[in-house]
Amino acid sequence: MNTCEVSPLLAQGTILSPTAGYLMLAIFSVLWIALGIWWGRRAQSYDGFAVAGRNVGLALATATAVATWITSNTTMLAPQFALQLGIWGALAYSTASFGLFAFAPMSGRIRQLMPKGYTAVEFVRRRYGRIGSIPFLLISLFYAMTWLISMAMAGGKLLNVLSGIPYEVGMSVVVGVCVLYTLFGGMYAVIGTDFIQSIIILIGLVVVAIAVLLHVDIAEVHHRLETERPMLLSVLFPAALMALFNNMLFGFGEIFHSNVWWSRAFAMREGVGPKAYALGGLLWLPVPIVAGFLGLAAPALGIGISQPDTAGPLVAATLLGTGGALLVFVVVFCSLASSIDSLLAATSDLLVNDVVERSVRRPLSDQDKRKLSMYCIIALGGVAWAVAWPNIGTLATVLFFAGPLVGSCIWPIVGGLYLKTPGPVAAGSAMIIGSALGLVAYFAIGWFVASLVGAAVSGIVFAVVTLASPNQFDFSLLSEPSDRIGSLDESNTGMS
Amino acid sequence: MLIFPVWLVQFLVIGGLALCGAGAVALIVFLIVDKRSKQVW
Repeated sequence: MNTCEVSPLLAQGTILSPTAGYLMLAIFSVLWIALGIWWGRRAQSYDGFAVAGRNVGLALATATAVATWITSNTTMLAPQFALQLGIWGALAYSTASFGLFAFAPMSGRIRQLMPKGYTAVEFVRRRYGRIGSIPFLLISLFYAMTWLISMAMAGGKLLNVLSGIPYEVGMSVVVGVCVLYTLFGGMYAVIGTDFIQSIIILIGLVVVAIAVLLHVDIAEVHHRLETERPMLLSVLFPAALMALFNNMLFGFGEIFHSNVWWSRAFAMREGVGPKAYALGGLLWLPVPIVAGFLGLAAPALGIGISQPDTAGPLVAATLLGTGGALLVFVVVFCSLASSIDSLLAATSDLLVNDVVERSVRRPLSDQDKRKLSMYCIIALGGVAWAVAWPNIGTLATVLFFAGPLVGSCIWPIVGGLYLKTPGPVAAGSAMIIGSALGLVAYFAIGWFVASLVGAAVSGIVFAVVTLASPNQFDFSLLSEPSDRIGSLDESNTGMS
Repeated sequence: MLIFPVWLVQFLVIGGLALCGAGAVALIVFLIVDKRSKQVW
């Protein structure tokens, strides 16, 4: 979940020595790459590489939903959110899990409608033709690239803050390791490592939170906040309440449109998706609350916080010493890797299926697509690395322009999956007008209403155009083989 | 000013912690069950 930017982390001192940081980085880099090679043996075909053979079971499916949605922002910035917006801040962050709950039934529908599908753009192209797929592809690529670049930058910054490893080195290692193991193992490696990463993150959070509770009582934290910063306990904290709705809609938009989540829906065994996404949401829900509590507990523990986004690591390192610092380092590294690998795999699918294959205007062979995926992963990693290298702080904020853009995709996706009547003009105009007015709201009013405006305008346009000009889409066209549908979706004959 | 009562904060934190712990255990149990029925991948 990407609710706010990674602000410049300039802690006075690191919580771990650079030597320990390099050692941990080396151990986990070797582990992930070795696992990528190990699982890569399964990824011989393109179906294996892109969607892990479409047979992923409940354990790995649930874990991949949890791990992918826990970004470094979730573990590092939930304490900051709580410190700035109080209890509502932590709760607002946790509403991002609603997107996973809402996507649960949709994942079953996607798997049923497109048993051989690969990407979200492929669905939109088949469902709405070019009028819908062009704006959707642009929004998808913009969101994926900005998320990827912001995660690469966050990697460099966080490893620097935690252990003093230079930004360029940390960023390069994080991107390089993720590219390598995704390259070797494709979706098998991504989902497999996600399982280990989710276990590490959940256990790490529990250990640190228990350490906090052994040192300070929740009632004591409450009393301290009530005395010194009562606003953080306020039930009616206007800024926090606005953040709650905006985050929820941003989360819906992010999950509904992103191929990161669609590719997992295609990868899961039939019937597994709805359970896995619902369970994933349930396991993700408490993460920002527990992480947020670390921030709220800092004042009661007598830990001075000069930079709010370092609250979590500082609390862990102060209470658990070097062990706690190592744990935080590993949790952060896992959070970064679980998101970057997913983005590399899912975005390469978009490039192969929706850009390259469409450009050559003929179905590509399995082996061609397998090879192209590898080139695309290297290219995506290279672009993210090159853009992240100069460490321009304002670049991370670009991700938040994505709020209204992805918010405007909510209704065309939901309507397109469940209703026959929405047509290409309704979808295309909803995305374009919703995005445009959402961006206007972003600059004219503020970030906290941008997703809301984007989603609301898009919903109104989508409903009005659908009512004015209803279509009768034949859902069976979505499961047609790609060579036949290739000619169908160009001319939109799927819509009457 | 209306503030969150201490019991609610306790419920949120302890409940969140229990859910995180139960989540980690549940994932491992799911893996064992999937492995037994050969349905991991």
